[in-house]
Amino acid sequence: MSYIFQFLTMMLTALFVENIIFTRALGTSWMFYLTKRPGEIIKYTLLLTGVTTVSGLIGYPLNGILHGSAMRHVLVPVMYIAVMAVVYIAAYLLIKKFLPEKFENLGINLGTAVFNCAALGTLLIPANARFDLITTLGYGIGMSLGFGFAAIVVAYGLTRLEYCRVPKIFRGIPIALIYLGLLSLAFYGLVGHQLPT
Amino acid sequence: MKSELKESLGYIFFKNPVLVLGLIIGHLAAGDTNLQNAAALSITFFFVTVPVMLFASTIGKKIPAGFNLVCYALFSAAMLVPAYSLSGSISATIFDSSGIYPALLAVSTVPIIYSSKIAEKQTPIKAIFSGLCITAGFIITAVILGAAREFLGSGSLWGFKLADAIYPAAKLPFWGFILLGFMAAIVNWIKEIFKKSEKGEEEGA
Amino acid sequence: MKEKLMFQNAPHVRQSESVVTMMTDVIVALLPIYLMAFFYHGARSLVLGLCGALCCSVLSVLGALLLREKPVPDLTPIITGLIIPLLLPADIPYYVVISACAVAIFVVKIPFGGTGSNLFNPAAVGFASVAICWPELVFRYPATMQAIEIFGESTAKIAQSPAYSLSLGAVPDYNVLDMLLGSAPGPMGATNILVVAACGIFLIVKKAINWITPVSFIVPYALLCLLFPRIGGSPFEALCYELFSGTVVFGAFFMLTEPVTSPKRDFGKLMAGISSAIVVFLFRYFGGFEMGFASALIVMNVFSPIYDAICESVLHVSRHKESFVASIKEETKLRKNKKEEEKPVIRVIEKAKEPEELPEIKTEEISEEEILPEKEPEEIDLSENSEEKEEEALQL
Repeated sequence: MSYIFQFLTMMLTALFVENIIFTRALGTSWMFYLTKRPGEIIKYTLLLTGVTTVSGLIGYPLNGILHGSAMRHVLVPVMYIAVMAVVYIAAYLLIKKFLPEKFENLGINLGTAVFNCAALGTLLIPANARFDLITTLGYGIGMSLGFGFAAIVVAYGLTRLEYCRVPKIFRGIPIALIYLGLLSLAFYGLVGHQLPT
Repeated sequence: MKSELKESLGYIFFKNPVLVLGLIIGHLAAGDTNLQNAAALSITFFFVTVPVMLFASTIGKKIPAGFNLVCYALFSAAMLVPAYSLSGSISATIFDSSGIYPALLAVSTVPIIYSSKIAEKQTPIKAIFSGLCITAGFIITAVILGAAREFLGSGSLWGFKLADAIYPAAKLPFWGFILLGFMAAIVNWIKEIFKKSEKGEEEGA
Repeated sequence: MKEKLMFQNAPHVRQSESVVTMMTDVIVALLPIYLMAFFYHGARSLVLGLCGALCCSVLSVLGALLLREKPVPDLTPIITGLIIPLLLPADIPYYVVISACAVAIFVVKIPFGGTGSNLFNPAAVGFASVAICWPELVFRYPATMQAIEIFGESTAKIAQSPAYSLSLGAVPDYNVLDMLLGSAPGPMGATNILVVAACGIFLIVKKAINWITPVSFIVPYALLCLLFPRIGGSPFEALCYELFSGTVVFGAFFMLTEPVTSPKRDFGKLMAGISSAIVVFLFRYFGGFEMGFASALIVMNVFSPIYDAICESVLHVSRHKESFVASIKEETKLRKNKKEEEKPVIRVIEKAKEPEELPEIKTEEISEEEILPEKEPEEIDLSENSEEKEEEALQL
C-alpha cells in the first residue's frame, strides 16, 4: 500500500510540480512540432510513456552499476541511449512481425518518439538523483502525462493567439516562446524556490 | 551550388536553428544560465552535429531503412565522450552546474532529424559545411543568452565578479524562454529591415 | 442639428458606461485603498503608487513608439501600475515596482498586442515575477502605524504577516477585527478588508465589474477553507484568517474581474470563479510561496477562453432546445424501430459498422506518413524566402 502511495505521489509531483515542459524545459521543440498537429498528441504521449517505463526498468540496475564510476556524467547518458536503442529495435521488430499493416513509415515515426530529449531527460533525472525503482517508474509516467498536458495547453493557447493583434515582429516563434515562458512562471510560483536539482 | 552555400550560411542568422526554426529551445532556456554552461553546450553541440552529419552523408544511405535513426543516436552518444572530456577542462564543477542538458543534445532534433533529412542527401563536404553553420548559429545564440543571464543573474561574466546581481530571477527557466522570445523578435525585426531595404533597392533599380 | 444628430462609427452606444468610464471607476475605487495605505504607512505608499502609474504609462507609450505604432490614449496601464504597488509591502524599494511594471507592460501587454488582447493579467504577472525574483523583499512586511521614509532604505520594524503564520500552520497573533480594519501587517493595499470590500461593492454598483466573479470565487473558497482548515480552533475563526490574509479579497475584486482575461458569459464567469477558488486554495495549501493568488490567476487565465467555448456550445444547445429535443426524439424513434426488427438485421448492421471503423485507421496511417515529410518542405520554404510560405511556417 505504501508503495502505491509513493508511486502516486511521485507521479503527481512529476505531473504538476516538476512539469516536463514548464519547469524542466525538456523536449520543447518536439512539443512545438506536435502543437501543429493536435490530433497526434495523445498517441505520442502514450508512446513516450511506454518508452520511459520500459527503458527505466531496463536501465535501473545498469545505473546502479555505473553510478559509482568517475565517468558517470557521460557513461549514464550513453548507457540510457543504448537502452533506448535496444527498446527501439525490439519495438520495431515486434511491430514489423505482428502488425505489418501499420509498418509503413514506422522507422521515422517511432524514431522521433523514442529518441528525443523528453524521453532521455525523464530517464536521466531520476537516475542522477538515485530514486528507487517505484519512484523512477512513477516519475517517468508522471513526466510523460505532463508532456501531453503541457502540449494540449500550449496548443490551445497558440490557437487563441490567432485572435490577438500580435505585432508583426512577434508573430510565430517569439510569441510562442513568451507564452510558454509566462506559463512556466506561473508553475514556478507553485514550486517556490525549492526546485529539486 | 551558390544557392546551397547561401542556404547553409543562412543557418548562422536568418535561419538560426534556435531563434527562427525553434529547435533547441529547452536546453538553452533551462541549461544556459552562464557563460561556462554556454561553452559546455556549444562544445557538445559541435561534437554531436558535425561528425554525425558527416557520418550520415557518407554511411547513412547504406543503412537499411528504419535503422538509420538508431545509428545516428548511438553515434552521437559515442561523440559525447570526447565532448565531455573537452568540456571538463572548463571548470571543475561544470557537470554539476550544467546538469543533464549537454547530454540531452545527443538526442535533440539536430543530430537525429537533420542528419536523416538533410545530411543524407548532401555530399560529405556540404554536410560538414552546413553542420558548421548550424553550430555557429547555435553558439552565437548560446553565448549571447548565457552572457546576458549570467550578468543579470549574478553580476559576473565567466565567473569573474563585475557588479552586484541586478535581477536574480534571470537564471530561472522561464526567463530563458522569455529572453529567447525577445531575441527571436529582434531577429525578425532585422529580417524585416533587410527585406525592406532589398525591396527598396529593387524599386530604385 | 448638432445637438440631435451625432456622427460616429459603428458601435452606437446609448448607455453612459464606456471603456473610459469603467476604467475611471476602477481608478476612483483604488484611491480609498491608497488613502488607507497612507494612513497606516505614511506618504511612501502614495509615492509608490504614483511611481507605478507613471512607469506603466510611460513604458506603454515607449513600447508603441518602438513598434512604430501611434500611441493610443489608454487608462489600463495606469490601473496596472496602481494595482502592482498595492500587492507589495509599503517599504518595498522603488526598483522592484519599476521592474514589475516593466514586466507587466513589455512582456505581457505589448507582445500580445496591447490592451484588449493580452492573454494574461499584467498586474498578476508583474507581481509574480518580482515575488520570484526578490522573495526576501516582497514577503517581508513592515508593522503598521509607523511612517516609512519616502526615499532611501526603510528602517521600519518588521512584523510577521498572518499569511506567513498560516503557511506555517500557526494561529496569527492578530484578532479578526484587526485584520478587517487592516492593522495586521501585509501587502499595503490588501490588508484593510472593509475598505477593499466597500470599493469592490462600489464597482459592482457602478457596473464596472460583474458581481458574479467575486461572489463565485469567494463563496467556494470560504467553503473549502471551512472544510480543510489549516489551523486548530473554531472553524469560523480559521475561515476569517484564511479569507482576510494575503490578497484573496483584493484579488477577487480587482484582479480576477479584469475584463480582457476573464470569460465573457455569466456562466463562464461562474465556472472560472469556482475553478480559480480551487486552484488558489491548492496553491496556498501546497505552494512554495505564502501566497499563490497571482500564480493561480495566471494559470486560470489560460482556461478562460476554454470556458467561453464551453458556454457557447451550451448556449447553442439551449437556444435551439426544441429542434435539439426533436432531433433526439427522432433518433430514439429510429433506434426503437431498429430494435423491433429481427436479430439478423442487427448482425447486418454490425457488419456494416465494421467498415466504418476501418477507414479511420487508414486515415491515421495517412497522417503518420505525412508527419515527417511535411517538416522538410517547411524548412526549404524558409530558405526560398518566399513571403507567403514563410509566414505560414512561422505561424506555428
